[in-house]
Amino acid sequence: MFEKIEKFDKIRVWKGEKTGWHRYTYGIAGEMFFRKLMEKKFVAGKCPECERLFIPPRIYCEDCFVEIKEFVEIKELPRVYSFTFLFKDLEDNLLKEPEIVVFLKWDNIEGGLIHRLKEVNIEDVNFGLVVEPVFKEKPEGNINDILYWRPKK
Amino acid sequence: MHFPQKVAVLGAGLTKFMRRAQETPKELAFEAAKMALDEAGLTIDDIDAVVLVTAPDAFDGVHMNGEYLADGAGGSKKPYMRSFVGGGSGVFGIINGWYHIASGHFRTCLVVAEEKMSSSMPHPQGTFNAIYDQFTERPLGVNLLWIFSLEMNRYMSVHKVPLETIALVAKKNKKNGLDHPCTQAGIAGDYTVEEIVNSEIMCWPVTRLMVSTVSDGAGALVLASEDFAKKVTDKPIWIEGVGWCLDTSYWTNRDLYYPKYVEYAARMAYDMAGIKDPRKEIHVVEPYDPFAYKELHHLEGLLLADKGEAPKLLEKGFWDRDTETGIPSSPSGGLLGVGNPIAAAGLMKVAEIFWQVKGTAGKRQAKREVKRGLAQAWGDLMQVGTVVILGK
Repeated sequence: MFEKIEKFDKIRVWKGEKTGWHRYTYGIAGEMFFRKLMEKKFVAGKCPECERLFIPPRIYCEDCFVEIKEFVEIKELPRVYSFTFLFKDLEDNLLKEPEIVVFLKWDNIEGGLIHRLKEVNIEDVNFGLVVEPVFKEKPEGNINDILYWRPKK
Repeated sequence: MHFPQKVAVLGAGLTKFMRRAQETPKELAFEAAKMALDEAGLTIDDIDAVVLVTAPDAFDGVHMNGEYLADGAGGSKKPYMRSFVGGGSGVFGIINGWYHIASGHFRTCLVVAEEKMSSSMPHPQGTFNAIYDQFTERPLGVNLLWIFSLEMNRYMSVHKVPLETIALVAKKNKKNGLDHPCTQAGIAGDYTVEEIVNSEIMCWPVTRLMVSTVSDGAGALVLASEDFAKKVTDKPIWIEGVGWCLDTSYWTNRDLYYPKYVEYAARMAYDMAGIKDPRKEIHVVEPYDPFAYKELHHLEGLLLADKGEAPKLLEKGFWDRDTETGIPSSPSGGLLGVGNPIAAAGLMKVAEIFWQVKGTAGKRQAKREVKRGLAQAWGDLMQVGTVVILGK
């Protein structure tokens, strides 16, 4: 079946592709978050009404629907909130060693981050594990400035 | 026609229109929604339901953009609906908000329109290519300018309208736009017809100053039931009529010089509002003007001028903001004078009519008395007309 629609020299099909790409601004809160990340720091936004902290930070609290103007540095480390292991790549090839993907949350902070976890045996990964980031030597202002997370040493 | 509730507009908000906003789409939505709530004197807790409109996902670059925008638009944990008719979405959103309340099901509805075209690279025209027929049109590298140049040329030739007359729309709207606080930098101005006609040719006969720009921005309106509105204001502005109509996506089936689908949408709205003679009963109009000729095209479709007559009335100043005997058209400055973040631009048209009828349009306020006005948007594949009539 696929053979038929991949013969593009035949008149019955025309090969189309989307030619555009995107350039996303980080936004007001995101700009702040990633600038701080370049300094190897994490910031959260604080709602003036419910006083909850949000990470990644944002300029509004979606529940109180008020503007957030206060951003605070988070010095605590997050915990593994959930995790998964990857054994194959997108092309279905077996990986040399499995990759660990984690959802990290900070205590008493709304939101969280997903990322890679390394320097740990699969059997030692568990809920509540406290982890620390390993940064690139020269951060560039994106989420891959964190090379990966590892259990707190 | 009987609906369980009349629907009022209580407040409107609009972000500044920009070529490249730093704000994310959610942030733009929030800013506009908050402004509309502030004008209405309400908080998000007063809002029963939220309607969101944004044009193709591909501009923002977020698939299922409605869901992405929900929290920024104030829709978190509320009945929330995204509706979509391309460029017609800004006015269509108000229509959707209207029947949320007219049905009697909700007391209040926040309608938010957002567009961030600058995310689309290298240019949003790349995205537009994909709205055309994939077999007969896309392989040619078609873009919007091609099609609108074809339509404009058809309109000019059927009615024998000189290019200089079409340019008067751009002159009027770009001048009106100087008075709008949300005007995108570099859009408005006091241009001569010569400058407009001689500006860079985009796709003949469309020149640079006769086509609207790529923009980022958001707008919002707060709607409420009669019961609710009367508790919070002595002078509600009512939605008196709504109308919408979608033609086929085969744009080649149309005659191009007359937008029938706009006429059908207008007739629906006039019937609902009990309007027999729109040329006497509509006091201000905001027709969709992404291209200069489209304003004239739409004024005729709205039955505010006979076919081919809108350009002649334009030459006489009938559509000017300070007219005393005509109908001011695009007193806001429109898409040509303020900017064109697609869905938000359509909503801007309704917001302008709201402020005009309320009498709070400031420097943009029409000179003549305004008791009722009409906003119209248009879009999809040159196939949809959406109309809202507001009155005291």
